[in-house]
Amino acid sequence: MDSHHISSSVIFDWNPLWVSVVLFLVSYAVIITEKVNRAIVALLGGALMITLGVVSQQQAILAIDFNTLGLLIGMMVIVAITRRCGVFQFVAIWSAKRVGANPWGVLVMLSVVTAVFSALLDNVTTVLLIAPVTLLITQELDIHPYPYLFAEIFASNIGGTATLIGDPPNMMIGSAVGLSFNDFLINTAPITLVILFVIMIIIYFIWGRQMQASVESQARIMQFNEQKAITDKTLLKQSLFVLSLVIFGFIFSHALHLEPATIAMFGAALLLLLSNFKFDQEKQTENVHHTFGEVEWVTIFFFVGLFIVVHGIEHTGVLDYLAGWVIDLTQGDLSITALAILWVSAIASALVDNIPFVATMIPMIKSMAATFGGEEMLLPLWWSLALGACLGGNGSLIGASANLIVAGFAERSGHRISFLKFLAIAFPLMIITIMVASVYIYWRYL
Amino acid sequence: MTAQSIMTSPALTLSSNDKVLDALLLMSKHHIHNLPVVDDQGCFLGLFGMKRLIQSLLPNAIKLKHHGLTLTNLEFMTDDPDGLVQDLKAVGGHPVKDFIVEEKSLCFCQPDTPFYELLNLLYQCSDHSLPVLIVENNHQHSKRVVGMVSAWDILDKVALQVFKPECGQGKS
Repeated sequence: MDSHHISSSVIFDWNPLWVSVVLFLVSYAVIITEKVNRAIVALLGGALMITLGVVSQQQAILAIDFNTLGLLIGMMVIVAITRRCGVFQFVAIWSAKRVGANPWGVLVMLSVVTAVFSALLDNVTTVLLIAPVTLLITQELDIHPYPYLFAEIFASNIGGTATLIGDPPNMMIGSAVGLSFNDFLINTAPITLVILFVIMIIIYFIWGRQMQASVESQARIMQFNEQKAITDKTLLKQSLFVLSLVIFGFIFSHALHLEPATIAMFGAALLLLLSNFKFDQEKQTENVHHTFGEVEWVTIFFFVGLFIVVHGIEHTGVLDYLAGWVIDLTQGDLSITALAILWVSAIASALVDNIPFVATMIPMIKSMAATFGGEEMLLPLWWSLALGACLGGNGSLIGASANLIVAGFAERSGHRISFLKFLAIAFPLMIITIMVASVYIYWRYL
Repeated sequence: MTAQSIMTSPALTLSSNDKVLDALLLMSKHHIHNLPVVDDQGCFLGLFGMKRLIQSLLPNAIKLKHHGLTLTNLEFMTDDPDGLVQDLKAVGGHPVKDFIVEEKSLCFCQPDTPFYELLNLLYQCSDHSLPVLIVENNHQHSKRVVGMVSAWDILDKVALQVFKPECGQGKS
């Protein structure tokens, strides 16, 4: 692209293209090995991109998508406060009682609850709070928790696919391409409903139809008083108020001329204010400090470093070259390109973190605009990337952070989920979800 | 004043195959909340205590800790006397080795450890229901427990010794 502008600034007159490629590959390789914390690797990679002269600091800062970061941090703050009031536990118990604590009914309800919470909040928090209640209920019912946890892993990733705020890849794609909350609601949400339904049917035939629990144990669950799970009624009202306001803001963001980061940060600040209003100065400082401590800074700084590393290879023209290569392979056919992106994203996301993958794919797909006749022609590719990257997370235990959290809980409660045993069922099921997604993409956009 | 001078010497130890029920009877008889479990050679294996027993009566889900989050409140659960009786009966028949507190959450010191370090260990210990164990031969897998010091020993043998004359005067 404009490598000739910067070649002089790279130290020792090294070729900037090769410097950027080596930095990119080494960073990604170390991230995949998980020997070093991913935020450290990404920040080091980003710092080296600047220090070695591939990009200037100014360019690096412009490459960081603060819209994605603001949206992530804002939602993390809202979730950190909301989860203290016990609403997750309340809804989980309430939903289990609605189906008379029937084992299969409970599985469906908890999966739906997980999917809805994952769509509106983050997947990790959702499973962090729903999985323990699940383990409690299955222990009371005296049935094995594995099918429940399995279903919840799938539900959290499928739910996350549904909305702009459900999963970080969607936030990145939405922010980079200018796709709104409603765009995701209209395009990815409908197919996730179908996919969740299909997965539930398959789980029914694998495990559901054999599930049985004694009448007494079901009666014990029915005696649970879900109202008591709410630990702070005032906080519950404040959280629900702010969350509704934020969702309202997302839906009307276009009319309000507001970007998602502004809405999420506004909501975060408002909820911080409401939940701290009654406390004195000292307690407020302590609370705010504590809440900020619960923001996943590792993820945030990982993003920061990653944006710079990816910008390095974008800036030196590597991604243009790769995009050209992909278009050669698919012979410039939009359908083949879209389906290829869907499948490659899904397989890649099952094996490695989907965030670095999506961060690299976004500028690459953007540079295909000229070939396909303008940016608006790229829409099928964006939906393919979003569906592939999010749903692919179901393919293995390491496919998404939420999967690892559930596996950790299962192990500590004495029901270890083995990597291969999970893979044996989850990977084929993930492939089925991608087949459904392929049909949808082809039928709706191609 | 060293650890040796205020420790309660454990005339009482449990062997790993003792049943929980027997341990409970022993603990009730001697008014003691924790007992060391030793192997055939007398080497320390872990501590059997009331808190660990209480944990075993709770649902598994309460033990999952993730940065202090997850399930912290069980107010929504209703009483289940029959279930509790069943659980207790089941627990009573288990050997004590199934319910021991692991070494990593315990504090150890030597018989000649000075008093302030002993107090410090009691204070720093993450779980205040646990005693500090006084051991000889402080190597992994071959610890021999010679005594224990709990907060009660500090109250009985140190604090009350100081105040006893005053208390006596007050009464008379």
